[in-house]
Amino acid sequence: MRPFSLFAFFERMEHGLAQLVRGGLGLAVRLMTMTIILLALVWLGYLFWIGKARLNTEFLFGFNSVVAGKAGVYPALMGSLWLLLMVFLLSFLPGLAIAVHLERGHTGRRAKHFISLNLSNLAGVPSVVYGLAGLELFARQLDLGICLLSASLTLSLMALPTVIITCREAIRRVPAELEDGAVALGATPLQALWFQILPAAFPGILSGVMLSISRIVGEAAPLLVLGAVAFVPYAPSSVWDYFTLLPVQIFFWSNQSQPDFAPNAAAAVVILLGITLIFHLLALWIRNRWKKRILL
Amino acid sequence: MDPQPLEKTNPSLGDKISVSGVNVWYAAQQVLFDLSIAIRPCAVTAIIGPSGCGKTTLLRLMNRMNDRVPGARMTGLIRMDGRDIYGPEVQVSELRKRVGMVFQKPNPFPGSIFDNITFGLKIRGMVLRSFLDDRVERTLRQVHLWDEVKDKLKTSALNLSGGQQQRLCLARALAVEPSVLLMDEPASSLDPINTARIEELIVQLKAQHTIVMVTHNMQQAGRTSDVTAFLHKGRLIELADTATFFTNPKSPSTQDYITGRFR
Ligand SMILES: Nc1ncnc2c1ncn2[C@@H]1O[C@H](COP(=O)(O)OP(=O)(O)OP(=O)(O)O)[C@@H](O)[C@H]1O
Ligand SMILES: [Mg+2]
Repeated sequence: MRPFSLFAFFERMEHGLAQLVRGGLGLAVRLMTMTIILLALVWLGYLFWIGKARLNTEFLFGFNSVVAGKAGVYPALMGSLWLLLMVFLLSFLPGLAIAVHLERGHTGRRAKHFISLNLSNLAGVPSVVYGLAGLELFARQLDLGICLLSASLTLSLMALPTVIITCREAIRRVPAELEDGAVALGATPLQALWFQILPAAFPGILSGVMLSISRIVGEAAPLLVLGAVAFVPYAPSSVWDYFTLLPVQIFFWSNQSQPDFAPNAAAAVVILLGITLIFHLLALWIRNRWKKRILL
Repeated sequence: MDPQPLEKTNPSLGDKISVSGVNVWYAAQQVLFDLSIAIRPCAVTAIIGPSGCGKTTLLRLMNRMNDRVPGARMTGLIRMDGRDIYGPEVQVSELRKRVGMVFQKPNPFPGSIFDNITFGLKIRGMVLRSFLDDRVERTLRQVHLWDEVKDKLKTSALNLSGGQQQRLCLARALAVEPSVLLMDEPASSLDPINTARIEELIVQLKAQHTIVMVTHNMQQAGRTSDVTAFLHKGRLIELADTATFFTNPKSPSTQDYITGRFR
């Protein structure tokens, strides 16, 4: 008998697996995937069906009301869009700058290791904790109060670790030979970074940033802690305004005892999903344009 | 606008680059030992030697690319046109603007063929479109790549074959007209016809450029170079005019190496 060999074992296993796939396993896996997708679609359709009476411009541009049939989602919609923009501005550039510094700057190995460790820890901290920290730091200590700005700062802080981690990952994936080529032609490190490294890393940076930000804009918990309430009679017109947001609005509507508010909640969910979808399609479009432009 | 002053390329002014007493370590491992070599201006110096003997390392000292290797350390003196290139007042990017390099492994930028060649010009502030067009055509013709790519200058350089990429990287270095050109096996992935063309080009280029070339091909060193240096285990074993070097080598190990009897 030959001694046990992992190489031979894998070969036999692959052979067996291929037979299983031919013999119906492949079909089963495909069916399972289809079922999951179908369930998601059914759920989405169900939401549409419940919310269909409210999916109109009146709801989209209406203000809040104690009467379910009259209540609109406009303040929450605007609040979420504001927040999306603010979190993008506040976390993208600082996150990218920190990532570049960590990857290309003169950070010692120990310091880098320490920071990396803390970043991944911070990325795993529950969102409620960020809400509490934001409430204390921004709303109370810095005396910004309960406003769109403190909410944006809190959520940006929450997005930052993930943004930094994904940007670092994207920058690190750019081969070192690229920078060698640039500096060998006489480019300064900053020129090499700006004209060669960042453009090459951009698609990765964008997907990472979009993913972390769009996830964060769906959060309700930290904002509930921060004092967002559903009943705000106006849409925010500056960062100092009081605000409400789609997830918060959904939370409150689905918590109402009267069943008339259920269609509102469903319709708001559809709108929130719509925003996320548009956001992702936009990112995809920019990414593809960019890839074509710099011919990766 | 022209970036390279040609004033010091006259042989009567002495060596273009002089390396004296250089030691290099990567972490604790020493890879160059008390190495001294003078590079003659407007001539081709070939560096030969077995794999791992330190040829690339020596080349990368001359445009300070080794500054970028973490853990690399160097002692000794390297002068170019009489000035210490590791001196405190030297701006590395300015030095590299005058000392071009073609890497052992082709490393085109992930952009178009056109952008690859114009990048070096753009960072020198040369952005006039007609000038760039001319320069792209001229350098691509020099490396005999023009006919193959003239219809796809705006497509990705990463789609080129290995040999095409190698010629593109040579063209990229030539476009900025450096006064010194460091080439690490510039013909390693070329077919015989293109190799011959590139060798011809190298001989032409020495009219204006000082060339240091690493090669594993003895015939290539013999055909193109004026001076040949043999490195072994981080030491310079022999340095001589190419004709003498190949016909009448002094050191027995040089003799073994060029006749292929090397162990
Ligand atoms: N970045 C590095 N870190 C550590 N050691 C290195 C590094 N680069 C090169 N070395 C070592 O230095 C020695 C010389 O390497 P070098 O690349 O200069 O050789 P070479 O003569 O160019 O070889 P080849 O003909 O195979 O290209 C080798 O032993 C190599 O392992
Ligand atoms: Mg080498």
